Amino acid sequence: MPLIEPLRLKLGQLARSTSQLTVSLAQQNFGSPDDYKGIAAAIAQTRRGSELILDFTPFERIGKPQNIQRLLGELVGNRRVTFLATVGSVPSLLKDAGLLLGSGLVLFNEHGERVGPTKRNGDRVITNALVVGDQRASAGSLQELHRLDAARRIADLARPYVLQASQLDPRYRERASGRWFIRLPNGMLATHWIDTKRLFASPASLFEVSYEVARHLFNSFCRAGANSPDCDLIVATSNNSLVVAGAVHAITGIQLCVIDKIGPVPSQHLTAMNTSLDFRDRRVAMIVEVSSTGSEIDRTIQFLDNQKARIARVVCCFAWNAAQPRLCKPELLTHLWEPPQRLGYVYRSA
Amino acid sequence: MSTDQHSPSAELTAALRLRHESFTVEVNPALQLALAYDAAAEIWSGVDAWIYTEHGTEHSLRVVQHFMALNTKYEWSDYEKVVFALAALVHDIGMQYNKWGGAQTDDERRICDVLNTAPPPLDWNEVRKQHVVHGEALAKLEVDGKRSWKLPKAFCTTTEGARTLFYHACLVAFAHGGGSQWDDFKDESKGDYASDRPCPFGGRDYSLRSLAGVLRFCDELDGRYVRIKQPDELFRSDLPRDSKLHWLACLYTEAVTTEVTKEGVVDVQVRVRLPRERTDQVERDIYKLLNRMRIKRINDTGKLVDEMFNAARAKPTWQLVTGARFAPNKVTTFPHTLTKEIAELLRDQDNILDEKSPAPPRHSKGKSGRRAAAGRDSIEVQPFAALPNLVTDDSDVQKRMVDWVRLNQQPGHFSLVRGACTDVLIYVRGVVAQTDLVRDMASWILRRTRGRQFAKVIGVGTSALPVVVRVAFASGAPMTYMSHLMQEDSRPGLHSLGEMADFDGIGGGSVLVVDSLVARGRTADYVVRQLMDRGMPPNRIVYVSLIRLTSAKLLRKVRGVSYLSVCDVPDVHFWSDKKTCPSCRKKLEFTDERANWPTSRQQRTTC
Repeated sequence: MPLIEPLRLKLGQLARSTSQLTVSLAQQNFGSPDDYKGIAAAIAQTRRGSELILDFTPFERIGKPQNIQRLLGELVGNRRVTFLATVGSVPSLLKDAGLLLGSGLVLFNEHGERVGPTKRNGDRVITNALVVGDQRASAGSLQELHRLDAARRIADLARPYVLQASQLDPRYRERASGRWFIRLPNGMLATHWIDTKRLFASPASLFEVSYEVARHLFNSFCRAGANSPDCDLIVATSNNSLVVAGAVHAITGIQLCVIDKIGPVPSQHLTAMNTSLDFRDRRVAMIVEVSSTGSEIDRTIQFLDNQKARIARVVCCFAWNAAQPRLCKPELLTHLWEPPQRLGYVYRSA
Repeated sequence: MSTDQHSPSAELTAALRLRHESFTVEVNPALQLALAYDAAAEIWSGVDAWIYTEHGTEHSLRVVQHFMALNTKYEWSDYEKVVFALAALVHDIGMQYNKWGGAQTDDERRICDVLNTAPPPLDWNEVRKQHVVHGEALAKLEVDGKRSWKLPKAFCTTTEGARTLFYHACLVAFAHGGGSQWDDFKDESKGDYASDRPCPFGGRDYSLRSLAGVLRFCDELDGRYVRIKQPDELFRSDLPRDSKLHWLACLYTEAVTTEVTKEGVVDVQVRVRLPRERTDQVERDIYKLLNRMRIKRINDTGKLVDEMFNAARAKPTWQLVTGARFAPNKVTTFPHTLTKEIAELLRDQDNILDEKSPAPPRHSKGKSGRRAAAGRDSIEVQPFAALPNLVTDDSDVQKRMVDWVRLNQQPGHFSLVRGACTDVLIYVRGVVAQTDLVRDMASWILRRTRGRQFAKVIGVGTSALPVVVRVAFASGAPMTYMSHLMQEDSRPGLHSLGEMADFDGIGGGSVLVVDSLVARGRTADYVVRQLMDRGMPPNRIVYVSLIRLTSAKLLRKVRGVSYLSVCDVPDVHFWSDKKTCPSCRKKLEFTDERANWPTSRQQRTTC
């Protein structure tokens, strides 16, 4: 079941038209006929009669019911739509727009926990588990639903950019134990490599990845956390990370800094470029684009810890999971993408 | 609750300069102000009716500043000061009705049900019309001790004295919109509002009527550009036309200052803020607008305040003798893309407010004024797009960047990683932490390259990346990046594959290169050559440097390529190797750049 998020569409629209794009601006601006035209276009890409989820949870207001009815009424009527909304005024507006007749409604509280079922006259309230893609969000929290959705989206994005060593130019591969390996800059060998630079080259892909990171930092844009993410500084650990972190910074408005040159190349020493920032007591969200063994994360944590910063979140966009970082608490670490089992990823010494 | 001495509420208390003449232990003014400030700040977190000018706590603090500027004339008592400050904090909370009206009460109802008001969300125009009624209804329940919700927070403690204090503040606050509360104040038969009542905690008498009048006056004085948080939204919302004019009046008002003269006259001066690109006609229109929306309204409000003083039977010296005027020879110019819509709205004022306006005061003409006098229309009129940047504040980004570079540099003799030498080390990477600078540099680049269709955006240097990301988002062009260290095959293996900028396969359109720092332009030359080798005509290449060291001459400047620079830094010298560096030739000691980087100790910790 595809999940359509008006906030994602709105942010994407803002990104294309102005250098100012922040979550709060998108939330405040939402509800114009243009916004609903964008949603209608997204719905129109699904087949008639198909099921889909329309997520209005980040919004406190969604525009005028007559506009919503005019632009979405017919499309919603032809499909089996489940609306997600936060308890408040949005469900009434959806009802006033006549969209709940024959559609489902799932309500969440301001923390993203599922509420209900609430009886509403003539509404079909979904009581069973939600399905996103081919996964069931059984626990019923918005965060779980979004996590499943993010995993599906990022997997689709990453697929063309995951390269096997055997596919690479002979200059960059070598054979060991009967298999082709890529020699990584730290001297280690790996069977696969993800070309994040090419993935992030497309603004659309970069936006998708950074939106997922932002959604995670803002706790699924739940009301309770929408205005106060649990971090006040984004730290990027390399140039590739900085591309994603720069996009997240543009979306969220959270201050950004880059700390690199702290490895893994031994000759670079354990140092960081001067950032002119005082890290003391800052709540830091670290964004890492790719991690194999987690040592990249450990090094940065070590540095930040030395600078008296507090690690609030660590978001790794692509994790090969050859090993886990040892200095990071598991509950603070999030992987947006992990290699499928069938890939047979191997990471080893030369 | 913030009790820190640097918290805004503590600053507010300090600004009131209390003499502690009239309070008891039970009613601690600092505590009451801190509570009210926190409650107001919570209400204003996440502005609902964002299309209107700012009405939050910042506005309240400025209103209090205006109030205190009148202290030399009126010598407010402590009680009056605290009542006024509380009133300033609470007077516009009704503008956030859509936020708090639907909040849950302890008995699982909504606040709007308790207040018996319309359920939110209301149309913003309706919110504005009803904001006094809604705010007053909420405050009244608090005064009556019938508060039954966790959010919004409590405005006062629950003691009788604190509630009385808050009650008086509410009486003052909710008269600011005119209406029945204002009229009640002037009605002699309303005993509650009698003037010069004895302070409940001892000390001097107080006059709520006078405070109500002064609040309205100070509220009117705070009509400045700082209240416009999102200027580019002016034409995107269903704002009534008179509200749009109010927006514009604020936008073109730099400051409103008050000064009490020796004769007791309150001298109000309105300092004008004019767009850099303007014609004489536009300037006349702006003055006409400000005359009606600022000068006249301030003077009219002054008359209303005097009416209230008369009702309060205040001392004759309290009469608010004022004549607001434009500040002479004090015109601030600011970067502003004057759109067709704004120009039309300014021209069309007469249809909305049919009044005569005096001539603008004489002031020294700026450069643009001279240009306009020469008959050249310099207004940049753009077509109205779906999501326009109507007003951008990026034109002073060059100056701000120069200031930032000055603050983030260190003189000396430095050896750089790439083998070069400099006499001033600039911590360029710190610029990525400057959110406003990054946004405005991206905006500046987009504006300067308007009309070009980019096929690729290339970032050179780490510090350029956040800017490049924003430009790529806005232009829709694919992006890539490289480092200054990168030369073809200079870093073998996967480094080369991963870091090499993708110069191939660039289709039609231009290429934008954004470089963090250009000294002699070796990387710039390399990038331009790479692009030209692949058939890119020079006139389709735009090379932007965020920082350009102008003391160093560029190695090569290709004819046809557009070289732009956000920030020119003249007094930093750069030598590409130690042989050419005069300090090195004198064998003076140098510092390795890396010695300045913070170093982490090798210690194992957990986060």
